[in-house]
Amino acid sequence: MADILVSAKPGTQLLLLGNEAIVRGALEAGVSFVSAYPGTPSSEICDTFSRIARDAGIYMEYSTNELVALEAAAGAALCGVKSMTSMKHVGLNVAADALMSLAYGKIKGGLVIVSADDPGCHSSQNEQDNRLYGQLSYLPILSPSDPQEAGQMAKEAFLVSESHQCPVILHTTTRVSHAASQIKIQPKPQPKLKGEFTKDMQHHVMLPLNARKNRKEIIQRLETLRSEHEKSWFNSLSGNSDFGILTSGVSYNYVLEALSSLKLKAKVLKIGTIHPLPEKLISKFLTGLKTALVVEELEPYLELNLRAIAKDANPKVKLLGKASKHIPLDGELNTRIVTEALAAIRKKKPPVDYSRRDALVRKITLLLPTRPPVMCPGCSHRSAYYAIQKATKKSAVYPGDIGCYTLSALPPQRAMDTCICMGASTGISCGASKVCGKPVIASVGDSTFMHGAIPGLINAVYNNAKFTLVLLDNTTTAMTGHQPHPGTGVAGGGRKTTMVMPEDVARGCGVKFVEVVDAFDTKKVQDVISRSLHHDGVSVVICRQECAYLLNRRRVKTREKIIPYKVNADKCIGCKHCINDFGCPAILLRGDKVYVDAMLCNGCGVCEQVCPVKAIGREQ
Amino acid sequence: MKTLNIVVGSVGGQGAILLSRLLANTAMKAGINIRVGETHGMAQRGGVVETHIRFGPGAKGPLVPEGECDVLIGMEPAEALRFAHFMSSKGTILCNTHRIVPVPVSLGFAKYAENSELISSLGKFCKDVRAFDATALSAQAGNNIATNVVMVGAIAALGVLPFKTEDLREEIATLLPKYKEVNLKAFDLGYGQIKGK
Repeated sequence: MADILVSAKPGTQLLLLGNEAIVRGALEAGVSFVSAYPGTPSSEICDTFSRIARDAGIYMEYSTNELVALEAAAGAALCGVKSMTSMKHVGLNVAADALMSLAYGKIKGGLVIVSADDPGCHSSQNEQDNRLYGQLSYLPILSPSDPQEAGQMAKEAFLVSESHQCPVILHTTTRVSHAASQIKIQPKPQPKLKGEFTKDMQHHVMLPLNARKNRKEIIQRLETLRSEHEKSWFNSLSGNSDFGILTSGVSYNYVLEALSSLKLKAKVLKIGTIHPLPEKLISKFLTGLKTALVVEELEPYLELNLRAIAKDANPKVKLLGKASKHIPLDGELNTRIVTEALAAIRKKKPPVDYSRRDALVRKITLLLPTRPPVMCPGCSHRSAYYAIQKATKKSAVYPGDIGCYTLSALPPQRAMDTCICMGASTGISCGASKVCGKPVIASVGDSTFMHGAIPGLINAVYNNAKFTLVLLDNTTTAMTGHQPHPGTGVAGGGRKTTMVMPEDVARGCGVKFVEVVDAFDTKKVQDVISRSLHHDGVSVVICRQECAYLLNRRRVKTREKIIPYKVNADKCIGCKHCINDFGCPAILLRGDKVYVDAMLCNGCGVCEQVCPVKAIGREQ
Repeated sequence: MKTLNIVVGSVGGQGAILLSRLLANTAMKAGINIRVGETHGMAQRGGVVETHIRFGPGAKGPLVPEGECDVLIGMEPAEALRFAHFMSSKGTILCNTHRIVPVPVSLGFAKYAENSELISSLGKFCKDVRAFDATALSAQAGNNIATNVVMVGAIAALGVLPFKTEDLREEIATLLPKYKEVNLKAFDLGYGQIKGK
């Protein structure tokens, strides 16, 4: 039976995440080619496309990184095939080089780029606001306020892209992407996967002489888009008051809820067409206002634009928002923040006594243990990092990278000193190893290696940097939901494909010291890393073992029982080495001795190697 | 209808997303407006998972406004207390008393207060606190991974959901056909716990 997202009849309703609604909206627009690299909060877009690719009759690929994903989607769109790529906010930085110049050209097929921002850094390394890419690229940006609008905008984005022959950015945030709601299914056309490349030297070859002409064209395009945005049904102006609120995205909902709970009236302008902004509509909003508050997450994008427009439209209006400190610059918003801002501005009493609650929360915080995410029981990264720390006696510099293994920065591993961006482990090591006078042991996951660490590795060989790169190969993109990558032999839509082995890549890059070891064999890993420290040049140590999560998923299918490990209490001397230096969540303390929680134990057996008195063994 | 606001505090792997899907799907079939706010990503690695489920035309954003939560489902005692500030004083807290010890506690970096202290603190946010061992009930049903469905049974017994209990049982059977019997038993045990049967 075909996937429900494909087979659902028009008129029916499905409970969909914002990300899934985007997929359905794109299908309804006729999307036929999808290429993406996963990243929270965007991952469910590419994963859903991968799941339905066969049923929907579309092409879907997991690309090596966001830049390649955008280029591939653009390549298909240049041939007239409707294409989509999705990525997390920082992914657009990787793809930005292509984006800025694609913006100068003409693309006939329809190309939509979903950029998912993460205000509050739920699972990101920064809080950048990708709405600002609009001003930089001259491209249109649509920003939905809820899952329903996300689906509608995905569909509309293709129309805009085709009519203006330019990429369109669909900007979401975590609270839109990961919100679920009922979505009404509309009809969808058959996908069209065959295209034709038509030569257009001026718009496809960005030589300076073409780029100069094209810049004039995109300036004009921006103004045409602006006039279309003046009439867009994604913007709504409602209410009548001399107090106005300008808002966009999920914040619009917080505004509506705060107004309702405070029983306040306001003129509300909600903007869905984030770039270019409908200046006339904003001027109309400003007319007759004494005060205007801007409610938006992260950068004061609307606020600064409002300030500029108000200079002509209503210079006397009092503008409030981030500059006036009513709305914070950091973190995500919620109804409480907006309620408090409105209550302060309009001199109303909030319906909830927040200060009493805050006092209570401060008290209970003392009772609550923190619960950071941890590597799973049986995770091979824990074993590899244990061996790294043993081999280097915790005295090296440890540049790291992005994935589940970034958790090794925390105790008890403390084996990661940097985490900057995808692939930075090799580049940072190139520089650090030249100057720091200490051994440098970098670590990177298999998917991140393919994504962005390879140029850094080539650079290390080329410039004769001396460090060890530990490649933690669990044969999946675990952090973002276990997507395949070039090293897995599986491609988007579940297609079988050639495995690109990281050891072959490393050797191909010119690395002379390349060894592959079982990540669970701590002695062997330790030995290889120790030897690598004496190698004059860059070394690559590949610690390979299946991701514990995937192993468990397979075990459920095959009904394989896990045989847990057990601590012999008579032998345990209570040294806590297994807790303080290894730190498996399945090993717990009872009195002054440890025990293994049989429910949590994954049966990897590394604790048996770790125990100095051989008190841990397999349960018989 | 008045908006019904539910918050679920849980630990990664406890099935909070499935719990929210059971409630939301049943509501959707009853023609009710739904907003669900989920946590994905980092939280899945044994971290804190916070889920918001909202029913009714007044539900706009995906997050329950602080002070307006009608039912808090704490899948674990510390995770109940972590989200207690969302409670309306007139609401109900359903708290599973089965503890999942966080790694910083087993490492000796953090303290984890006794259940009695956690539960009495819950009472400071709202009077109606129902604490019981839902994991034990799940095990009694045949598998301790059905704790989430025990909690669904418990919330159904409160009589606040805007749809029929029978529809919810049917949704469990549809969504989880393989483990239907265990889950329906888990549902009934949770329901019985609140109804006092």
